[in-house]
Amino acid sequence: MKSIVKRWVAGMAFLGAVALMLCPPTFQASLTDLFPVKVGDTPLPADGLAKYTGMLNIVLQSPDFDAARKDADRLYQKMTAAGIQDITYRVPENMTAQMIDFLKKHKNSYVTDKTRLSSTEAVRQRAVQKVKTSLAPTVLPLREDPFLLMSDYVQNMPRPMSLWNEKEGVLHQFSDGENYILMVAPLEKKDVYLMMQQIDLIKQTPLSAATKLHLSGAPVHTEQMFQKCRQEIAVISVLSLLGLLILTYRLFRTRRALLLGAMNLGIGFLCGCVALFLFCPVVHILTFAFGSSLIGLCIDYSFHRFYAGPEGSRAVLKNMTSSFLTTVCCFVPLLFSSFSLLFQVAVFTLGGLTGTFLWVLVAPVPKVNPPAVRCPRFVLSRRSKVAFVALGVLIVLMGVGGWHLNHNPSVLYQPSPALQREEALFAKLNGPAAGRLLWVRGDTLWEALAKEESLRQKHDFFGLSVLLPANQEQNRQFVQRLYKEQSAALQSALGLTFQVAYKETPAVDEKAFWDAFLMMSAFVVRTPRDVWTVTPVPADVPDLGDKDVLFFEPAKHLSAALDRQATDSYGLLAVSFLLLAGLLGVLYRGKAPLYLLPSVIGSLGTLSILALCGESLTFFHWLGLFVVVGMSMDYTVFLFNSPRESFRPVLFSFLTSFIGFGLLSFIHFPMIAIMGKTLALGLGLSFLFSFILSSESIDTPAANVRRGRAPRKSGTSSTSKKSAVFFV
Amino acid sequence: MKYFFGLFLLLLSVGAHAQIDDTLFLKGIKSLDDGAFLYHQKKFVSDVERPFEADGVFQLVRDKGVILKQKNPEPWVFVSTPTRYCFDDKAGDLADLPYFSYIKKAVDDLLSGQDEALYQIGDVAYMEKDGLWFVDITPTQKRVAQFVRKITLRGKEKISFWKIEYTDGTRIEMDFVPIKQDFSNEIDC
Repeated sequence: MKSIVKRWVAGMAFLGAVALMLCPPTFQASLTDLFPVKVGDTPLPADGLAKYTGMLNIVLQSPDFDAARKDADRLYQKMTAAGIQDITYRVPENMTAQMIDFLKKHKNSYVTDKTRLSSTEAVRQRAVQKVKTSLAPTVLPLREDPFLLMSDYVQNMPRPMSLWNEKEGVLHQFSDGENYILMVAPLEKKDVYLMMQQIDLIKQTPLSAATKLHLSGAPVHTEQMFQKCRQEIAVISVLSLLGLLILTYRLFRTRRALLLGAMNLGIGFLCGCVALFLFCPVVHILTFAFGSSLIGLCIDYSFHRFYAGPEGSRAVLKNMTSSFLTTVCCFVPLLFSSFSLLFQVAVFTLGGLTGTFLWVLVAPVPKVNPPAVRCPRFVLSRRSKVAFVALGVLIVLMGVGGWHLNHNPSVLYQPSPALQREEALFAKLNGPAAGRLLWVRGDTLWEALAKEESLRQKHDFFGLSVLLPANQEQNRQFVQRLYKEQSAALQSALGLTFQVAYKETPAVDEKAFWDAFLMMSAFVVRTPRDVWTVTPVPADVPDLGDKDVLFFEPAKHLSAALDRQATDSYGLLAVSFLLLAGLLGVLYRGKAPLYLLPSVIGSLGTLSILALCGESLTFFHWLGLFVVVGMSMDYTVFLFNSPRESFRPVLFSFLTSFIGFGLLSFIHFPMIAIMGKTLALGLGLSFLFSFILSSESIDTPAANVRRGRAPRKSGTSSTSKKSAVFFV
Repeated sequence: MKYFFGLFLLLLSVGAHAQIDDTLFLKGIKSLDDGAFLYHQKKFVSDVERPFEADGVFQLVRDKGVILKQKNPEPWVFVSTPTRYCFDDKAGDLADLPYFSYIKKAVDDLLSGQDEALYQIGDVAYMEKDGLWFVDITPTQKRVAQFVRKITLRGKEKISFWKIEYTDGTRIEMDFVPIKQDFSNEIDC
């Protein structure tokens, strides 16, 4: 009856899990997705942000402009046919003339801030001086613009941050005998596979022999990194799996153990995913990378359970429960983190771990019958143990000075030399990289423009409000007053042959503006709730602290967010250690510090060794420490409580994790490599110190060995009698 | 105003850095950096009864820059160095000049001794007669042609006259007379 209920419960749980897996949540892949950018409490529109951070720069280079132009046309057609939209390529010919024609039609609306804030007399005097000087000819004939307001506006117009010029309707540059034509395409960033296809399509487009294609921008970096990581991960997965299979087979000498291990792993992963999908509507794929400790723990549980067999169940279950609780203590604080990735890692790990643990508890113990292997006894003098611990502490202390965070993009990511050359070329052609986007929010476009204008009064830069001013009414009122007060004086000062009189011009309306300047739509992002103007600005534009104004630098933002999360994770790690200390105190009383020591030395020693090797620490190192502590407590609990019986499963479990994570440290994707390094080193140190501290002390009960007496039995006596003895 | 500083600089750089050739024009242009000049300017503006006249001094020093000091009717000083410009008390980077990038290539080429850039601005007509040389430049590059209709230069051993005709009908004529004075230490921004 009991078994029927169990089967029903298991069956229902399985069906529920499958149902959840069939309708997974939304997945995020980019690191920037983890750190939403906010202006006050309003997040920047994600689509708009992706548009500006996911631009692909396509530059065609050729000594022959016509050939490059034909190639560019062909490429543009192919890209649009493939569904790539909003490509910046064709620009209106004679843009300046068009712009001046437009401004002329609405000239009373265009007055510089400086002019509007001056007295009418000062404006008249300046106009007289300018008309007379050889350095200042006028944009419009004097009859149309006697106070030179339009000339003043055009001549003081800030230059857009770009060195590209229009030539025959495309963005062009000529440098060192070569023609360069620019296209900018916003690629589909959310779907990495689609983005890769799009880049591939661009690369495959046939070009004339003399034309070279240069690609740069965030999508190319993503594509190259993804391609490289995919290959590396495939190789590493095969090697890790091979290692796992060999070690499992070596431990149990039966293929049945492989199946049982895989089943445990499958259940762990399924439970982890179910928990994750239930609690997190949006899941970041990094969760699976940092939740990979689950694999190690599932393998651990399998090894211990199967190795002990039905006879050793009670002792193993006791150790397993302690181990499970210590891991829970380690990950529970992450559930209270405000950082979504930490929360997801905790949910995934705890869900999977709980599932595996319950499964191991209720599942019948299979008969694997591992081979009887002599397990050597390891004996250390207390003095040696103290010396080892002192060495560990010394390593930690030696490296503490080098624990400094560095989240510079170069630490987290290093592009290939070829891609670096492409980026350098684009930077040379495009001018000094702004790297800084100004986002201004408004409930309406005019509100956003007014805020942008007030910022431009403090520091001039090119933005949408240059061509579409918000304060048109004030400008028009000023112009009217100027004509009323100064017309006669101007006429007499210059000796004009015509009557200076005010003429009304229509205000600029949005529709007319977009008809004339469609390209300027790149400066606007609209959401159902608000409107944003976006423009690249120089580094010296000051941040005045307006809640609706944000200066966004992707690299800086990411760096600051990671710094913040790393700092937060110190506290969480401390809480984990405190909880662990409390639990170990309850379970092992006075020995609790000893149980904690391998994990402490393992985790802190890892940071110190990496620092001594000159590696800068990142948030991902700190995140790796949670996994190190969570997994290494398992080694400690088993080795301390039953050193000889558990030695082989712990050793093999450690080796599987060490190989898996160690191989990951060779991946070119820094975040994964950091995790691999931290875990391999941390687990190695923790295992080593667990082993050292769990070895028999020569001067306590095992001191008898030296005197030729039998040591105290600590478990299975039959093997211990035959075992080798190691002294240190 | 900044835009026109750019055009003005372009003209000056033509003289200062054009390749040395055996034409009288290039010899004359080259002589621009051989001391200071007195200038007399006449500016003809449509719809204005009489031309605006002004005079002052100007000097160009190769690799250092240019100074233009107007003395009458209102004194002002314009100085340009390879990277900066100042007009009376206002100063700025040449790189910040709006639209300067459009002609920067030509200026840079001329500064490095390549007068081909001049031909990229527009059509160049050259004539020598009785030891005098005449150059007419008709801009065809859209962004220059938008504002400048024609540039005329004239000289003998040294440049003696230039005329710039703008598309709005404005015309500026300047006569140059060499003087033995040195303002090179004032070329600083």
